[in-house]
Amino acid sequence: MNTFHPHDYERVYINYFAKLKRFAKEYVISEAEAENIVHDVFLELWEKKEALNFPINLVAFLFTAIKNRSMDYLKHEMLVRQTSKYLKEEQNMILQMKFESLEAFDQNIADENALEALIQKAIDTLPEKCKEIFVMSKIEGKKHKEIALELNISINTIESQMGLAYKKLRVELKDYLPLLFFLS
Amino acid sequence: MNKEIQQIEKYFLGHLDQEASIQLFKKLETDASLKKEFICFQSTYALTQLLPRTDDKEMGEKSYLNFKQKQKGRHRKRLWIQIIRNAAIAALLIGATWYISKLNQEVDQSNAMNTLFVPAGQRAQLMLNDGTEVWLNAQSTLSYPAHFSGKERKVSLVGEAYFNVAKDDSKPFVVSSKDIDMKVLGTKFNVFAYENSKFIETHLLEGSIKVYKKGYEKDGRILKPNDLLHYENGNMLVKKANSNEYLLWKEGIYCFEKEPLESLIERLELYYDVKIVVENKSIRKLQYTGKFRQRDGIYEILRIMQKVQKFEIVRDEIENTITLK
Repeated sequence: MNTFHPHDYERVYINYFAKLKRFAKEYVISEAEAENIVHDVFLELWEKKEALNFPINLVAFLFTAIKNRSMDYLKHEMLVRQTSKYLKEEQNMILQMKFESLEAFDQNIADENALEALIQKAIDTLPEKCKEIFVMSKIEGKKHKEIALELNISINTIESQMGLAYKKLRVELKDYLPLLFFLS
Repeated sequence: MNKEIQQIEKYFLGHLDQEASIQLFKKLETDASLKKEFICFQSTYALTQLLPRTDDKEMGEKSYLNFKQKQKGRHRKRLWIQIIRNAAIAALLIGATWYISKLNQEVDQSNAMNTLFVPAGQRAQLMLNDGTEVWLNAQSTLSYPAHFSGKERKVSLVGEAYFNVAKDDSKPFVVSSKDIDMKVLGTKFNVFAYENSKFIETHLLEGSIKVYKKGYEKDGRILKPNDLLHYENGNMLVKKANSNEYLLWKEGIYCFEKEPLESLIERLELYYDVKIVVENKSIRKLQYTGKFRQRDGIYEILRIMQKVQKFEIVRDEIENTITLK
């Protein structure tokens, strides 16, 4: 359990900002919206930090706030599209699935240490090239095009290797995931 | 199922075209275990986004500086307003009234009225500023303020809506329809008040509600749970609701129980924005019992009705009329 003391605000902000923005963007799709949501959550934390004189579960607070605001945004977007005369069917279905996936995501277990260790373990079992590509993409943040150029392979190969990596991850996380989300 | 899982993989790689995507999402709606797989994929992707990246710290620091600037900016703005206020008081003495009008622009955002219209064949769910949940049926319009101020929480409805009103003893919630208003404190009820319908119906589930003609609150009727009020031609009739299944419309399911054809057709016309003419005499006296999915659409529903007793369906797309022969 992470405890939060007001003077840690800066450290927390710097360490979590980018990660949370990526997480939010995964569901709300729009980068601008993801940034808005994370900003608003940190603002909320800033305004509360004086009032909070007890340690709180920081990760839970951040994730819960981001999850709720993201869900609100998705609901709103779906509503706007539902009532628009020229309904964009595919877009609305995507929003619906994003919403349901996010709803099912149990943020209380998104503890980074355990997660990192698990993912590391899974990646270590990948064939060397596959592992290298995954690290370049997910840890170094390089785009597929850049990786293709750097390693001198085709983008198709990059994509299929990433597909393999994710497949492996899903298998490894499957035991972990039931804790992560509950579906009846 | 393996083929579908491949589709999901392709979708996340961005290799699925629009048509195939729509096909996939339609399958997800009906196949629960496939949906589970999708959510599994989605969660995996979301989790990998949480892995630390080499430039995270730098991004965080840059963003934090920005954040602090904004905080300072806020303080600066507050300071300026203080100064302007003092200057205004001084300027008053000199008679420069335009300083005052500049101050007045700091007033709260005006209380905008929102209007939500749900087209035919659709439904919507929303939450109002006070926490009240509203489900709107097809072809319905709800007007509501962005912020409830004043002594009452008032909304207007044309069409059909189900309300789950957040309790607030200090501010009654009022639903205004064409001729009658309904006042509640915190309660669950359904209102049927379409423009082209001869009657208005209110069905109370929980709590209590007072229904009255506009301006005649003293003569209003107070309903108890499971009461159904039918308002037609200026008369209010309270009867017991025979079932709550009808309310499944908010889940997208239309239920009919021993419903005579005429009223069934009327409802379908309202929900789907179409005119239905019944020429076939033999079905006119029939009653229908069944459940339909809103999203199946009018033609599917009519096809199912044909199974009770055969009739012919003739479409006129130009006049937007369906004739049952």
